[in-house]
Amino acid sequence: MIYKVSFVVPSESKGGEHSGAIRTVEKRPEEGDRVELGDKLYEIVEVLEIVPSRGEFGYLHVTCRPVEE
Amino acid sequence: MSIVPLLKKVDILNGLSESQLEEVAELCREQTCNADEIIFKENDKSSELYLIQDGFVEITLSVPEPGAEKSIVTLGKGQIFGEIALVDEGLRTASARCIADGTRLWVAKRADFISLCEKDTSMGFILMRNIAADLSFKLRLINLARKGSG
Repeated sequence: MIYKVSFVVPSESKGGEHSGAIRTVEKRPEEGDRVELGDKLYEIVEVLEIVPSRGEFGYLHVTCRPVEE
Repeated sequence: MSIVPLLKKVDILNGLSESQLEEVAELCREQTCNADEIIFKENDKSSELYLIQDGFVEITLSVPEPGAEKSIVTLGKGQIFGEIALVDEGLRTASARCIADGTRLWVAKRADFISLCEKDTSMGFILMRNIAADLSFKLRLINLARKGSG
């Protein structure tokens, strides 16, 4: 399965100024996973299937928060 | 190098046969760009569709302050951009800027792409449906991001 994933960082998150991203990945993202957007590290807090999968493609919306080192 | 293996992982080409993917591949030429390189600017005339093979591209909109821009989304491997112009032939609705050195793109001319869709209307239907789905996915992202920002 290939996943098309939109990443959103809510602006109320500290450091949540990222505008969002769309990426194609081959591993389904899960809550707690970490992802680099630009030069910052974020943690996935929610994964939603917003559109039914079609063929080999899944469509997910992921909410992230900045990882505070 | 054949780009068909890459094209199989591109959702707007989901549903095309191997031979149809090869026809799409024949339309594409490779372009490499580096960080901060502008691929196209908002309000430019448009004639091409882009696919990211590797690297990242930031889509930005101008804001009222002179020279300032707002980032809308960052796109990575397997994503397309420039597709709005493919549909409506209008001016670019946003700017596209490369944000990683060595970003590799595949570029297809709108006219070639449309000719292919008209020649093989079954493929044309699949492509246009998938492009519509891609646009709605991006719209959902923007809506969800707006909700998140209150």
